[in-house]
Amino acid sequence: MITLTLALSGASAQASYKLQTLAEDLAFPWSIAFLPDGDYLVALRGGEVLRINEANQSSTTLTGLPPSYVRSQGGYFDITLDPEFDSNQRIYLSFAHGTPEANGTRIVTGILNGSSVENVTPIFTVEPLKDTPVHYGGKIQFLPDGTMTMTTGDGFEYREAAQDPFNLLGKVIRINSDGSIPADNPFADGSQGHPAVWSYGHRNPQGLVFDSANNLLYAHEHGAKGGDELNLIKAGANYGWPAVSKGINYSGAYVTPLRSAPGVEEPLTFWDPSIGASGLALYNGDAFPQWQGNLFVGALVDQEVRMLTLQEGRVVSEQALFSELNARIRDVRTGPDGLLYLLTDSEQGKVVRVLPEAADLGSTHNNEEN
Amino acid sequence: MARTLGSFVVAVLGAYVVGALFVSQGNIAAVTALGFDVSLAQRLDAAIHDVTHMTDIYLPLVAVSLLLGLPVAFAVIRKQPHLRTLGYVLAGFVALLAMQVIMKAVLGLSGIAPTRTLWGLLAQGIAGGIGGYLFCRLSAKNGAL
Repeated sequence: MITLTLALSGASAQASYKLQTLAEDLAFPWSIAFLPDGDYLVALRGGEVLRINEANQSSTTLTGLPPSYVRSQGGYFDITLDPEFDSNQRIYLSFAHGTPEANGTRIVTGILNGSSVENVTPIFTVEPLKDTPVHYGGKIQFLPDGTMTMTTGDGFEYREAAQDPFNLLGKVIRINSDGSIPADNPFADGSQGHPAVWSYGHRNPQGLVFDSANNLLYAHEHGAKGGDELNLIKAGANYGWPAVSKGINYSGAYVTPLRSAPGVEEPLTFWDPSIGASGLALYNGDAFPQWQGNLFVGALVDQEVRMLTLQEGRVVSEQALFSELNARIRDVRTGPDGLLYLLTDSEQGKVVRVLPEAADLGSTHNNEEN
Repeated sequence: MARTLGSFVVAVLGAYVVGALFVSQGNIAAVTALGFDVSLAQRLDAAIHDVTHMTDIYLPLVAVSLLLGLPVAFAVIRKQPHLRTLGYVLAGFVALLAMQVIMKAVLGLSGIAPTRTLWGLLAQGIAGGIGGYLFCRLSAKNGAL
């Protein structure tokens, strides 16, 4: 399972890079989190979190985490460290909880102790529960104030719920790390919407990242056919789904004839045809100075990563990268080492690290392939 | 044979157009129910768009549904000729309605969004019934309805 393979070299318009496979034969890896000691956690959609030690080429399954409702798109989703992990060893996991008849996205937290997770406690469950195994959202992002945001999906069959601010389907929610509701949420008093709602009108957001330099929260979401979009998330804002959309139903019919409407936020960009946006990173490392400040969007359908260059809050260019992997990209992250990490989506999924072309891999386990 | 084939093609097209229009207006009804305004021009644009863009998946499904449903009616009508009109209309109604129900059962999801409601589902049945009626009229010999 664990391997170090120097696979391929490539070049973007601005930077030369090489791709290094760190782990493979992972069944549908969904997210990755980096531990301070150099290990990393990889959540597999099938209901497992691996702790991978690169130096020892070893992997262990974390114990103590709850079972998940694993079907279709359901399973384990995002694994995230507490901002104060160094002192509290706390981790968070989002996953599909429940039964075929009643399931939804849940967040649990627990204390990581080696390969076990202790004191595991649910802190938030998206309600109402639904009877479809798709469109869960599930991406978690902490904000600088210590609160946590998470995306939720519309459950596919319940798309109109995304426009109901009292309903948690199709939202970005914001909670405290213990599951309580921050007092400064846009609907905190409950009179205009659910207190946990941060923004609404989303379909199935699968990317969420915070730009701490500019204090901006970005999310992208799977739209209908031709409607994947990148949004700048604002408190209390409506992103339109399903009343306003750039996409159409897969049957060919309009979801809605409205492509824009007063009071509905416009996406920063959208993809038609859909790329299957999954995973979102803001590159802030030193290894690729040319990439700093750019957003990286994984593409399941197009089997590549889209690098978006932003200027003054607008997307001014877009470039496809890493298509030489020939793999669906599930997640993209910037690691603490300033390198970019990719998760490929398949039964034999991989963790791939993106390094500068000139980097010394410093390992005797590397095997070159072309 | 040519008459039967031609009648079937017209029946499929008729059911498809009516069914697509029901889908179109059903989707718009859901949007307006959310408090958004949709103008008459947007409704007409959506109707034209949907009728001309649902050919990849929905049209074949309508064709297969009627291909399965109408022969059943034919078998019954051979024994009960006086039920000809009712038989074909009912067969078309059940065929398109069953298509949606089966898709939901197999996929776990509604392939045609408006069929999530009873009215949307019945509308698909009506489209199928119109297809059955067209087949009944056009395939009739010497006005044998």
